[in-house]
Amino acid sequence: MRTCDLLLKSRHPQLPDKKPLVRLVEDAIGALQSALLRSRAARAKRSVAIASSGASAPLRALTLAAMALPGMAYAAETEDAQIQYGHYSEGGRNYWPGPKGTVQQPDPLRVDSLQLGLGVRLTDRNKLALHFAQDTWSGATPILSAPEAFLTVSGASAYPASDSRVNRALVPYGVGPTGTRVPQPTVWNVMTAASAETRRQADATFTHEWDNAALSIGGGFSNEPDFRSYFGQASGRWDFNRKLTSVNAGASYTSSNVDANLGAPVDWIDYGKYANALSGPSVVGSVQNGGVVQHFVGTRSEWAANLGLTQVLGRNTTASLGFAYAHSAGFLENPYKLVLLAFADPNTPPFLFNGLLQTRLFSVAESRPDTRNQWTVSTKLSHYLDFVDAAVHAKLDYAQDDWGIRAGTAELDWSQGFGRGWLLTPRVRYYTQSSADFYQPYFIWAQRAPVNASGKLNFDRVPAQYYSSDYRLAGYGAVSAGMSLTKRFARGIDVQAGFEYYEQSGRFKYGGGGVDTFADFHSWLFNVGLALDLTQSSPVPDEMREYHADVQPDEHAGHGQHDDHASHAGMLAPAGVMSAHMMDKPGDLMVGYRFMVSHQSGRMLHGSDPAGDDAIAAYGCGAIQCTFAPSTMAMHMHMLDLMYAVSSNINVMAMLQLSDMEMTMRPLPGTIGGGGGAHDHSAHPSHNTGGVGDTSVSALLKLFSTSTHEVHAGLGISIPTGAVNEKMSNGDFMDYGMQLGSGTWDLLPSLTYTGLYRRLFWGAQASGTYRLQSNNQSGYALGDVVQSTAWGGLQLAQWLAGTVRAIYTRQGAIRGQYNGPQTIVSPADVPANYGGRYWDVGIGLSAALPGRAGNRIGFEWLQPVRDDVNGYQLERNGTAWLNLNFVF
Amino acid sequence: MIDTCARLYIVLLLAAAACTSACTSVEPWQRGNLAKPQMTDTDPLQTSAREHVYRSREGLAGGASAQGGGCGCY
Repeated sequence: MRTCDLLLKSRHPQLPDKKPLVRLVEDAIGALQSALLRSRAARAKRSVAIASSGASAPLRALTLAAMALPGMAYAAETEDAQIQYGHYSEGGRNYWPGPKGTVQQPDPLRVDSLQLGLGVRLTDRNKLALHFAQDTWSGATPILSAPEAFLTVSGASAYPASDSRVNRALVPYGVGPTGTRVPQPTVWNVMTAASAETRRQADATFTHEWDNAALSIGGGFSNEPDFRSYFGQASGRWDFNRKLTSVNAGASYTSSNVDANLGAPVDWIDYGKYANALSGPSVVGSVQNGGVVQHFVGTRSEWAANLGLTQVLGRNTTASLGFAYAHSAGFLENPYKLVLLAFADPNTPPFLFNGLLQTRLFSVAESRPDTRNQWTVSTKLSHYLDFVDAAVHAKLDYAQDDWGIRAGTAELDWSQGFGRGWLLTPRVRYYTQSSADFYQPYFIWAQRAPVNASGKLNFDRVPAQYYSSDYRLAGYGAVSAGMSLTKRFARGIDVQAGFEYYEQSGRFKYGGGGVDTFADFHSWLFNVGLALDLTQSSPVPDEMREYHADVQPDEHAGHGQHDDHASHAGMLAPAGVMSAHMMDKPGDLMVGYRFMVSHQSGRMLHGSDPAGDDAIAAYGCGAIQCTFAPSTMAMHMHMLDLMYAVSSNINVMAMLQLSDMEMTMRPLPGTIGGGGGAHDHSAHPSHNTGGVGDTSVSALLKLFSTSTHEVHAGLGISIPTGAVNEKMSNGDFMDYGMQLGSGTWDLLPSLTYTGLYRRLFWGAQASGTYRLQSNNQSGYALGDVVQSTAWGGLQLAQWLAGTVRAIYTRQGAIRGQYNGPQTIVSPADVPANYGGRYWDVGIGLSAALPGRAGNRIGFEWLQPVRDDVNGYQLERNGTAWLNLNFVF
Repeated sequence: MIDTCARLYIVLLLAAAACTSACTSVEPWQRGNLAKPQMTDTDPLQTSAREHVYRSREGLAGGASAQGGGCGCY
């Protein structure tokens, strides 16, 4: 290395010319830096503290520089939390409108997603990272593609016909406007709508760090109604060459189970290839609510390994190179994609169809090989441009698999700093792939259809073993452009927002020859997020004295104990109480995350008494007979709380929500719902919705405060950001309880009292929700809500508190009704069956987290003790709250 | 064609890395620019959202990572 240093100097004579004073300062700071690095115990925290304590800019920059070393990059993020909301929506999917334009335009696909991350340092060298992700998606996707000549219309839906014509060159001939056969070779998508579905993923990674290396192991699971997978990974990183070079390697394994609900069997889809499968993926029927429902079941496993190298090439440049390999085996089909197989009979007598060939059409499940091997090479070059304070990142990837797909990706990011913590990163990306060997928009052979005695397709005699029309396997290109804006605030809070526009088309395929335009689509992705450096949520010395009396027991006696605790009484309130806590210190910011899950199942109630099925059928739906009753209802809600102390007497708050719901139904005996499988609900016994809920902004005003007691009032507005037009795939409104918001502007008043004496604390709150409008855009308004609650608690330890509480809630019935199509089949479809009087008791625990007072995690379970419902409603099982707060 | 381009690019990159790294000496206190936020992924959450989209919409995107992500078969 010394030789190299000498060489470098001789080649760059300007280096030794540096002013001696500058060298001296650089060396001194370098030495200081090395000393800091060697101090293992305080390594991470100290460097962060220096970086954030407003120290001189050069020192801060150098500290950051040290953390940029591969090994220190992890230490920089000692403790962090992230939350991000994303919205994805698709458009431009070409679908066949039918000869008279009667085919219903499908709703475009949209996905709402939430990501949560938490990284905590268990010890100096051990870090645990937890991650949770949730996607809720709904809308229509292509189920197959076919030339216009092969399509027909039934009602508002397009289907492949069972019989058509082609000429001797296999050009499809359909029935034209005049009733004669004309060439109709244009390929279209046939779309299928699906109701909302939610996927949840949780994973954890444990990392141990050495001075020049790190080792991680992790695992997790992903769960959605039709796909469940478990995965584990191990990876390592080794820095050498004075941390100029870093090598990383990893391996991972994923095991997945597919159980796709295909609904009730229909005539035009042939799952025969999988119907009697003895091994591998298979289609099985099960009886659900009196009707047969088909499922596509199978398992899939995937091994992957990667090896990478990162190299510092200079003061401004790094490069990395990676290799990856993946082996997948098992059920690799997409269970929802069909393929149109066409057989043109070359022996069709010429006089029959004007010389056209009779063509039999079969819509079948796709077939892919049972294994796939995939190789990827990825490269990245990052270069910092001093004169504009920007970095440019260039990425080039190449991938190939043994299905015949070869793909290239090029991406260019320009990351521009603007000072004051602002960072703007515009980005362009290009992706291109060749088609898989077994991809075609539809398959056609000039031979007589291989059918068995019953006229069904004989799959053993189909001339291709593998066939897919999934557009993902076609040849195409994709271009996308977007940007990300980040603002780093003081106290380690990053706010991030970004978008990307993406367009996929056969025209963009590198080298040409891409798929026809029917497969084109575009999409938008928006995201907003918050990233918190939790090491910044640590007490300053005077707060240590004030709040952490245990740290300095000598000063504890008589040192404003009541003052402390009075300001904390609200903080100790149960996790399910909103607006219970006010912050005293002007300028403080609290970031909170709440998760709520509530569940209903079991008996149907009428008032407070169980209701029999006969009574529900007869009276539950008003003048109409109910044919179904809800059997379960689950709701999950994620909330982001932001609270800011304008002064010690005024706090302002904002709360954003993301929720998803699932309701299952059961047929009522003796009605047409219980009678047979023809009804829509028997094939789709559950309904799902999910997405952004209502947003509230509010202010809290302290009315009265002593060392023991505090009273504050709150007034908020709920903004109707949640959808109230969630519909089923047939266009009917879902029941009122499945809508994501109220749809009305609501007023949210509250009055809270909290008290504390020694280890005891207590509180009470009255709150309400008043609808400011008599109906929302869908024609109705939820009933007003009044809630009162009181609690008592005990500090079990310095860090742990327990609570019990009682809640009484009263909610009015829904006013008005849907102003669009709705099929009333169950009590949940009727406005009078909403609201009531509810009594609950709650038991909760909360624990202090390291850092500022107010950093807490809380849990509460609410157990219903009595319901007195309006009309006919499903009994409640309970509600759980989880609450995580950080003060900055 | 892609093949040739990709191979050429990798060879060039390796060669560049080999030439430079052998002789480069970037001391810790000279790594200020490398440590700037611009040089890292400035919005990793957006990156993971984007990659999720690519993985569920492209034949070979996402490379060879088996890290969950679900079916994405809508």
